[in-house]
Amino acid sequence: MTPRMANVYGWLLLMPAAILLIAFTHWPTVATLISSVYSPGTPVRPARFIGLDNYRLLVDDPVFIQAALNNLWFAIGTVVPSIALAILMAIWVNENIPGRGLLRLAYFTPTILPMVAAANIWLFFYTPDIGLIDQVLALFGSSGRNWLGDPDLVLPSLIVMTIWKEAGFFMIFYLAALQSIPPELREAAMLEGASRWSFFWKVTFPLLMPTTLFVLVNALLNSFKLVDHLFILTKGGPNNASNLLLYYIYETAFSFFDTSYAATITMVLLVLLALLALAKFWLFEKRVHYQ
Amino acid sequence: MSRIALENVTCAWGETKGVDDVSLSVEPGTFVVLLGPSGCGKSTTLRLIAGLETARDGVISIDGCDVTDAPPAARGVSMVFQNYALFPHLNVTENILFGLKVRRVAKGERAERLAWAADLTGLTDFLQRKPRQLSGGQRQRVALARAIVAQHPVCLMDEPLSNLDAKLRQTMRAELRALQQRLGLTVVYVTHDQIEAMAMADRVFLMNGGKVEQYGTPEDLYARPQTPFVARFIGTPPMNLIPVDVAGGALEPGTQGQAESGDWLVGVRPEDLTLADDDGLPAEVEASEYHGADTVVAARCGEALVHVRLPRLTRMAPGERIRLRWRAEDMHLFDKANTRRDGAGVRFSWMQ
Repeated sequence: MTPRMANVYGWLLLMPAAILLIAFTHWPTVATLISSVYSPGTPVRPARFIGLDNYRLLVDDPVFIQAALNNLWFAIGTVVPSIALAILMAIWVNENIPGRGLLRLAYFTPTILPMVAAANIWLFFYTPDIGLIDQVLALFGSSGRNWLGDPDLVLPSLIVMTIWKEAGFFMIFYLAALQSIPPELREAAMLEGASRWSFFWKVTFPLLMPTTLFVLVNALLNSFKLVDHLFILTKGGPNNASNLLLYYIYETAFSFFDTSYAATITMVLLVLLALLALAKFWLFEKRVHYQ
Repeated sequence: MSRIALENVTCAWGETKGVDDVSLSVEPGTFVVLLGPSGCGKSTTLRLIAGLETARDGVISIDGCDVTDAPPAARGVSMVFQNYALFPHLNVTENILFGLKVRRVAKGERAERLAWAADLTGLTDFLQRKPRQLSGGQRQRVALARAIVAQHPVCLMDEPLSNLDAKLRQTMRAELRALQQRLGLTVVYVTHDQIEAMAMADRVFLMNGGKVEQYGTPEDLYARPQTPFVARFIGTPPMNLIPVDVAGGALEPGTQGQAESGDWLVGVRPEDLTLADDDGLPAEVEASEYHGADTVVAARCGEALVHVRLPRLTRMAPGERIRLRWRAEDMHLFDKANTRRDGAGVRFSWMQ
């Protein structure tokens, strides 16, 4: 085969994957970028180039700023506790206790549920007065909170539900990591007189670091991608108190039909996610504490 | 100086007894080997001393103190694990000093002890490396340094050399022994390798099925095995055990299929066998292996396969018929109950 033919051959082999990638990933990205610098076109007024106008608009858009801030709090509020909880649960079900398999399954169950189903369950929990949480609180003489209707409570309520949903999934990664730590390390530390607490901080936690990084980045990405529950629980309300970036994009595009502004917010989100992905690769290059 | 004593110790998981009513005692400053095949309970015995397993019955004492229920750290022992159990995220210095930091030993003393231990184990140039950047032998030394830096009088070792290649193992054997004698350590050393046991030990406990089968110096175990198991375990190739019938003080080779056959066992070391021209135990050569200094011939003798160690190169063809002899004082005799019978006074007709 001549080198030229080999080249053709190579390109032909690459083509199916390349076409799929370009059609469904690269072209939409470029199209979004283009769309974000044009005004929305209508049959009467065709789209025209408006440069960075949409981006200027973004800076002054109070809803966008609130959605971005909400998203930041949502990210911090879900990621850190769900990781801490995942480590705790993993250590707990890694011990030799009766009913360990059942416990692992129980912790993992929220992950199996579709987000929409989970949101419906929590809708029942959060319903004022007749919901599970209020009924339990009523036993202690405190009730009548509108968990999803109060702007101060709605975001924490969503965060709690998301932690419940995510922690079990992250636990699986930690469980796998814990099982790869040789039990002799614990015995060696015991002989040296290390307490459980100092063994955890001096040995287990550092050895779990690669897992923590992996989970951290994925949890962060998730916190920007997760939107299903808003459709069921709050639709971003009340007064945008639970609005998140992706949901705001959806609203802008399909409720307000401002596609070019939606494209602008999409670009911002895309850049944010790309930065996170870059951070992930950079961290993994350093391969923290791999054996 | 520390004396370790186990009295009637049993360790069991459910119905399976890992260690079954074991009593043993280790004198201060001696190198003691727990030897045996896998699953014989030697590692469990070591872990019982370390406090990593709990005894169901019996008393374990170190230096006169009952430590049966004491936590591992309170026993004043250090341990070298088979896979070294180094902390992969810590460098050599941090690995060696882990225990001293946990016990809050002062910084100056830590540095002193580190220098001392690193010097003894030849690690001074590797202190900043992570375990993954070290060879197997160096990792082994780090584990050793971590054990001696604690300056506990007792050091437990669980097959510490089994992950090293044969040549390194031989060097480390000598180094370990030298280190033990230099520091006056009491070492309890677990291995399944009888050569290691013979080469290093002051005393050997040969274990089988959770019990101590025989206890003594390496010479005792080799020269006077108390049971056929010990006879088979010690020595390469192991002692030959030939089933025999005893009739009126005379021995006859056992014949397969007969009711009384193989009731007693005659044991002879391969190097104690000689070839005879006329009278002797008849055998048929099956194979022969040339080792350089000697040749080991495998010969079929009734139902038993007998190994004969002959000096230098001795050519033997398979199928060749030979006669074997040995001196009466080189013969070990075991009766139906698998116990040694020295005074039985039985002998083969061709023995003088």
